[in-house]
Amino acid sequence: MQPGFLYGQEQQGNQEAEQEQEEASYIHGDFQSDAQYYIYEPKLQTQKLNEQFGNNTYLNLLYDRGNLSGGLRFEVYQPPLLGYDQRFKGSGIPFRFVNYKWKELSVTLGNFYEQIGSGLIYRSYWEFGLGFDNSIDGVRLRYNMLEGITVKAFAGKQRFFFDKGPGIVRGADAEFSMNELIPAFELSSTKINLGLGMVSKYQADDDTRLKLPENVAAFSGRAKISKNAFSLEAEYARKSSDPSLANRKIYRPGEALIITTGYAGSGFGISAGVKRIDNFDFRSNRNAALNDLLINYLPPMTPQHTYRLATLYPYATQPTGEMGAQVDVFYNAKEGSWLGGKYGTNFTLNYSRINGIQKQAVTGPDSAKGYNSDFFAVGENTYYQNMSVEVSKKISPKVKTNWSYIFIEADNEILRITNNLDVKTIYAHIAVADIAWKFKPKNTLRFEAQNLYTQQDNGSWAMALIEYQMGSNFFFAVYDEYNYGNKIESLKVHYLGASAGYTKGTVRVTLNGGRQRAGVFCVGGVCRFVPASSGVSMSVAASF
Amino acid sequence: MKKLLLIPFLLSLAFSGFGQNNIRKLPEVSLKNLKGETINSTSLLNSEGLTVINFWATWCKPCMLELSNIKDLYADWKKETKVKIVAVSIDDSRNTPKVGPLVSGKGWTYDIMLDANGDFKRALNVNNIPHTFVVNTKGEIIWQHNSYAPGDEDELYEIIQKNSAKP
Repeated sequence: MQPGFLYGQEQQGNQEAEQEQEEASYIHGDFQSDAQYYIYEPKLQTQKLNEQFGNNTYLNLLYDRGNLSGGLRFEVYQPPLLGYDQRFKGSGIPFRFVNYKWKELSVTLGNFYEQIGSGLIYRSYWEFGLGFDNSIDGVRLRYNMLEGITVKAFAGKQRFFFDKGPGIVRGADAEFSMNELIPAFELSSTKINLGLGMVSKYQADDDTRLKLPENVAAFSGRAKISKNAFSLEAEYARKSSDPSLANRKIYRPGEALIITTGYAGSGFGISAGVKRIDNFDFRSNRNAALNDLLINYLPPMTPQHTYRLATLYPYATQPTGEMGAQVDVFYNAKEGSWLGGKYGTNFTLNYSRINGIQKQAVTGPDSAKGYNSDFFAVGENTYYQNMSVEVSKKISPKVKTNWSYIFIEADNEILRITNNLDVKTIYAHIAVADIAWKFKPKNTLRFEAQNLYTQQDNGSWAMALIEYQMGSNFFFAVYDEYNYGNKIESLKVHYLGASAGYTKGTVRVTLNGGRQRAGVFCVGGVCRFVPASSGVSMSVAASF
Repeated sequence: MKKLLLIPFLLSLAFSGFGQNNIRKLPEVSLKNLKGETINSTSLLNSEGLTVINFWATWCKPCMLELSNIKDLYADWKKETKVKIVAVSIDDSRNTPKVGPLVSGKGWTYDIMLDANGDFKRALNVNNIPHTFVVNTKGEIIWQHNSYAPGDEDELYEIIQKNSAKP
């Protein structure tokens, strides 16, 4: 009697707990507001603005209750900050959705973000700091059909500032886990995952002269194989003929291939990859330019630098055609070893190079096809080259150092990093010393010294930064970037500034005052140009 | 402006759920591990102790510093509190192939997950990284913190110790 009785009670308790769990609902969200007041300084060649103030703000508000979820995002740009697309000006709710999950099936109506494989044929994402959002407003299904097979399908129109693009985008993807599908493979240390995706867009032919394809389709196949420390990943994509502004209206199919391989041992790792892109600009409006209405994402095969001067010359994928290769080596020399010293030393090396593809123009009656290209022939022009070494070394329990050397070669005629067309190829050598000294618990002083040597573009730059991290809540920093190598005497300008910040839990407030040099700000494969400015800015970020 | 009507509706729905012990649970999102397998976020939970979920990226200097500083302490933390650290990389496909080799080259022993298109990041409202969550065995998010300053790991460990079951 006794045990049974107890059992019954426990059952009841569980049921109650389950019910409570099902009914529990949560509101959560995140918020950020960046504002700047601009001061006109003719010396910096800053723009004279009618509105001396800019503000970018968003608030994500999400709601979950059991299997139901939904949310929306407010955005305000009154007006947008300098360097952001001015077409954002205004406010609204450009993103809202509802989602319901039935065990293995998930349905989203409204806006969503999705990616197929590495993004070669489809990726939608949101990057507030870049002013980038290509979410689709439509419908999406995700279905775990069988153990080992996941299917996705979607259709809709892309967000375009506070409106939508003219084209319709639809896609489907299936992913197969061979280890789950083939019983004999279940316990194998070799893991194989395959995927097949398809995306197509529809846009009415509005051209009076040319007959343009209204439906353009792209397909991709991908595989990831891994065994112990080794891994191999490959994706190949093709796209039907898509005459557009980006490819100068040629009738030629597109092609993209990325292969990467990695070894992850103990204290040592190496990653190597090759890629080829040929006529693969893909947008839901064939007349779009800049970062407008992009359907796919072509990952750049170059490192993403974080030190300020090293971000002066970034690389952006050339969707009309490029071939590249990259190698990264990561090594941790153990403490006590010859290279490692007393506390160990960490090394990171990168070499990457991007060239054009070889193109032979088609002449005669078939000239609309544009060009022919030999798949394996590397183009003569080097678009970009990067060689970098970073050494991290702890000198004492209180002092940590980072030393970097970076060499960058960038073809300005292709990359248009600067609008000065007299600048052809830029060669830059960058050295960075970064020293952090934790002089008492939770108090760190950090010094950064950087130098960029170049004879092209605006000449050499130097930078210094001092940052004080006071406790875990406050930080203060003073920095100066000096364009000492500028050939024009009046443009040898100091960009001096100071910032302070306060963080508590998930709330962060940052203040900044001073000058900022012009530069290209990139995240992932998308970049935006930020003009030089002077003024005071404030940023508030929070999540709940 | 019809859209604005949604807000009071959402708020009323939310408050109808309040009053109960309402600590948000870890949302269910698909992630990838370094082998390319799909992993459900809820299966990351540690049954023996707390789970720390840390959002990072290869291009984020403070993130790399934080994970490197915790590296030497992690073995002791695990022994003393049975805590598990899951480091979720939000690198996109530009850098995801480098994550495995980099983690090895740094000598990190965390569970590494890839959130290449930010599904998990958005579900947890992570706007800037690093962002750290502490989750208990029931999947409830009991603590979170944004950004990293050297020494923050001591505060994190205090939270872990305070919320870990005494043996």
